[in-house]
Amino acid sequence: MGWVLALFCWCSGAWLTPSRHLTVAGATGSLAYLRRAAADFEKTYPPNTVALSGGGSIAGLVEVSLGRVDIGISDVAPQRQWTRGVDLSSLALGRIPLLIIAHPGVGVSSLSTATIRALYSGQVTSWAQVGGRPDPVVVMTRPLSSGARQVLQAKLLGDRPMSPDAVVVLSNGAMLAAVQETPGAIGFVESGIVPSRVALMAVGVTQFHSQDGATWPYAVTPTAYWKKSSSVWVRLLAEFLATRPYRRAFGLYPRAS
Amino acid sequence: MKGGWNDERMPRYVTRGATLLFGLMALSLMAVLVVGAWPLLREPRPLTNLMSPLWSPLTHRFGLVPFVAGTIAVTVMALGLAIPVGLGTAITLARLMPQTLQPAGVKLLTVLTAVPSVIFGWWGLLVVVPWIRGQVGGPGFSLLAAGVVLSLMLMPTFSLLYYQALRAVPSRYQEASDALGASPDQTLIGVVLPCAFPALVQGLFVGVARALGETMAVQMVIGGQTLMPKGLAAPGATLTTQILTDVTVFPQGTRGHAVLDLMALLLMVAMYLLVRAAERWGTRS
Repeated sequence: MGWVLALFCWCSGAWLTPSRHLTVAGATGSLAYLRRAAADFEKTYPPNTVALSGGGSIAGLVEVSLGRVDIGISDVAPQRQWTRGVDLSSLALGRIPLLIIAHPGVGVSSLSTATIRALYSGQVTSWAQVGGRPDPVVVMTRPLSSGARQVLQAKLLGDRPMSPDAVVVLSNGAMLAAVQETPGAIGFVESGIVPSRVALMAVGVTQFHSQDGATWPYAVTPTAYWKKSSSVWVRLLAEFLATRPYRRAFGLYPRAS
Repeated sequence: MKGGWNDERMPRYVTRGATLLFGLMALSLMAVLVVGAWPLLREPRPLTNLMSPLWSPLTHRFGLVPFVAGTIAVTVMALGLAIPVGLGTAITLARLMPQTLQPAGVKLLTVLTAVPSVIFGWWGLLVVVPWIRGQVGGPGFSLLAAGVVLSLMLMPTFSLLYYQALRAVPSRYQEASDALGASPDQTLIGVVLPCAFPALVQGLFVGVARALGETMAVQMVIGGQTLMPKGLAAPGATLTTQILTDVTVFPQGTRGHAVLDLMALLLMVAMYLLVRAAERWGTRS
């Protein structure tokens, strides 16, 4: 029985030690940046440790409101149904351009907003209808919990519902890989740089270049949310995440510009 | 040492406590799902909405038929592919392979059963989805891709279970059959397989339970489409993959969350029925 007791004491000790283990969850578009910034935070403020996980914007809001994580990252503004009225503080990390991408073989390099709506609503089913090759259109989307999807719906699709034929992929990275690999695919990614091995669509006459990240009209704004009652370390971490000078290298542009 | 740690009563308390804790956990899991799904079950005609083929949470339409159809299709496909290969592997291992090589074969299968499902899903993304896209066109993300990936996950499990079932047949039965002049195939078909049948059926139910419950690997290749599947090569979704996709959208207390609770409850009931069936059919000789 001795080893059981020893194990119990060891576990209890680990639980009872005052810990500064901070947790962050939510939107996946800024996860690469958050990994780097969290590692820097741990180095700057030892013995703090930071655990990161995805799950999507709405998950970030729900989890922080329920107190399951310290900071929730969300591309969409909190709604009462997700936060249950919990009072949250917020700090924007920056803005990430939302880019419309397609498989390189579609034969089209620019789309009007009306065409994007028609493609995403399932009205246009062949790229030949919009001047491309006669390949069937494969619409790729993200789950309902994705902030990027919400932004696409609000800023580009308006009240036109997304095609129910859309293939659902779970993350930003999975979307990029799926569009690269699937002939006829159209999708959207959060990225501050021109993604490789896909056709980047100009929207109307506006073509995205990496130096245009701050002015590109379609963008998500990943924002850190935390409970007002959280510890000073949580606020410090949020401020740290929102102020790193290397944000731009990860496609996060300052909001003001 | 009465009252000390070496007291004989101590292990008894610990084991009883552990059993009680386990029972409470199982009951609380069921209770959470029932309580969560209760607002939906209390509605006047709960089945009317749920039996619809339309899943549109934004318009409060929660038809589960596409997911039930997807679950059945993927499970049947996976079993159809995995059972013959699993049985073939088990027969080879138990009856044809030299005794000295059998432990190595069993070890290999054991390692394969422990491979995390996300690795099978990754392999499905890299190999199965492009292959299906090349063969039948479309996006490649499909029920078929999910069925193939799932079948590969199930094959080692079936092989091991069936190997153990075949090895459990008393050797004297086989020797008696041989003595009567039966060929190895006649012995296999006429003696070994019928004797092992209950255990084979039990293995089948274990496999079905695993197929029904698998989520991650299936989610990575199925396409997540919430319409009624238009064919095996079309994208779709299963009960488990849709729970995973939408679990973060619906906070507790919403109707959407109640629907997800009901979906989980359906899966739990299905698992319970499978276990009961395994007990009933698996013990018949």
